[in-house]
Amino acid sequence: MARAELAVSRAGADLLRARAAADAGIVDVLGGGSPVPPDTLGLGRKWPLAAGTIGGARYRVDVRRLSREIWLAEAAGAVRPDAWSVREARLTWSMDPAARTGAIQGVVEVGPDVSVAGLSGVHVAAARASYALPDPLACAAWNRVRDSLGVPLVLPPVATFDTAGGGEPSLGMLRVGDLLAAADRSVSGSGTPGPATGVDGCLTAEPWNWGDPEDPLGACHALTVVIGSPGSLGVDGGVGQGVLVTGGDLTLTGGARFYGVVLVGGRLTMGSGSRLVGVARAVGGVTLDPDSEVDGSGCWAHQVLAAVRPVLGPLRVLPGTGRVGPLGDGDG
Amino acid sequence: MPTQRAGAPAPDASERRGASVVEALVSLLLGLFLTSLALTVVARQRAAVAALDRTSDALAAVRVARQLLGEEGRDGDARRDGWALSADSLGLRAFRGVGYVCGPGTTPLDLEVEVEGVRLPEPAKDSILILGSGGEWTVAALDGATAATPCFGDTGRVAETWHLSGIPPTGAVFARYFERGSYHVVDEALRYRRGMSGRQPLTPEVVRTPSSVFERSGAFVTLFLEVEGSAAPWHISVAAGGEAPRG
Repeated sequence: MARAELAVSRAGADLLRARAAADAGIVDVLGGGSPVPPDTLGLGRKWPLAAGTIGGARYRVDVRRLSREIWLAEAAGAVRPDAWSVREARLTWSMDPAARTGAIQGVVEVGPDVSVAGLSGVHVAAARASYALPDPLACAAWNRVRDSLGVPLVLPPVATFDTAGGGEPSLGMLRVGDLLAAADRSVSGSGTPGPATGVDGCLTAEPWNWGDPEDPLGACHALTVVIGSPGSLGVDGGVGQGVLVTGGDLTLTGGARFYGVVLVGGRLTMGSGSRLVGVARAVGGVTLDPDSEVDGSGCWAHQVLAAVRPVLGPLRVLPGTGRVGPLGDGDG
Repeated sequence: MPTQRAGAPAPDASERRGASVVEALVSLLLGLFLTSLALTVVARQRAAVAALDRTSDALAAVRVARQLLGEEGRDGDARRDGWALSADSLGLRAFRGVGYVCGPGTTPLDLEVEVEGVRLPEPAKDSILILGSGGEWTVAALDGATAATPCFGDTGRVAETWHLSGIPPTGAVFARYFERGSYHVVDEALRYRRGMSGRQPLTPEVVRTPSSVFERSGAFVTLFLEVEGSAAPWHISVAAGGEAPRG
């Protein structure tokens, strides 16, 4: 009986060690700096994330694609070398540019019951329209995605987005706080973005260097960034590309040009010849002066979201879900 | 065989008889002593075996409670799953497996899945939580399940077509199946009750009731399990998925 108790206790201890290793592995992977899974992986396929040994127990962490953006992170742990003794899983989310662009309902999305002034300045370009500035190949990629998702060829100029999630200009599961935390650079107040170059080329660390899509030969032509401003922001002239997130209002003046996706927690105001190519989401509504314009472009939105996927695409635990299971005994 | 030496006197008959009585008495006393000793050893051994049995049962009860409640708690969430807590019971969704969605079925109420878990889904008692592509969960009863063709290749999972009580969310990607059950510490054992059926014992009947109780403590539900032979209760804590249930 004592021997049986000892055997059971040892088996229990082994199980605990294996589970602890699996837990540690998955927490480590999904903690800071988790990797971005390849967006070319097919549905149901697994991609290895990590493997190692902790406290004499080995672990392995894989991620399995369930949809364009939802992934199942699976961890296995074992003490014995011949089989995995525990398996556990968590649901995670990774921003996918095609899914996000496909979810856009209008060139300018606003919160409910807010005003939109200067609607004539919002141009509803066909999704297939060929812009001179963006990479034509990027538009070809977007058009393929658009076809596969069944996205309408022409977006409406204005749409109202659902503010059930707290009225924030979120990007899928990424709330404003997440976007600001993940942003490449944080700015505040007002300023003029523009390419900054030095002897080594583009100075990517400069906070107001947001790339220059208008200069194909420039050193900062390909630089695409996520810009965050916790409060209101003024952009006076200049040029940039990427994802621009503000917790408060955003004002573009002085002929400022921005290419990509704009997410505004307050009101978006565009004046003095400013131009936005892409899409915008503004909780507090939009005001366009007669000499400003928004050129709707799913192509540009897709292109910048694809470029910033290394920044916004790391796996995050899906809100409202913990572990999911139990899984079976096999390797799945 | 001994032989008598020539010329030696013959042994006295009465002397031979006396020696036999002493020997018999010594033998008798020795036998009685040994019998008494054996009986004492047997009695003590039986008491030791009984004590060992009780200890073993108590340890088994603690081990079973810790393992089962730990597993149920790991996969559950107090708020989302509507845990119900009282002093002698913990009601929860007892998850039994997961389903990888292959796609919609032939009718709006059907879903093609591959499943894995501790057992296959059982329409008589299981319900389904279905995850939509937007991250929202929808619950539906499982009205039926039939064999289907695997969609993800050779995974070793079982392919089924689920017939649901409600229309699954658009772009369903994942599912979990569960039964509604509750754990009770009553009638000297930890017991499990599925739905409104009887409470089946999971442990030997060595649990002290009603002094063994469930209590909420922060992000955990703790079972204070008192078992025979143990001076203090065992604390068995179950993670409640970040939020403790309402008592």
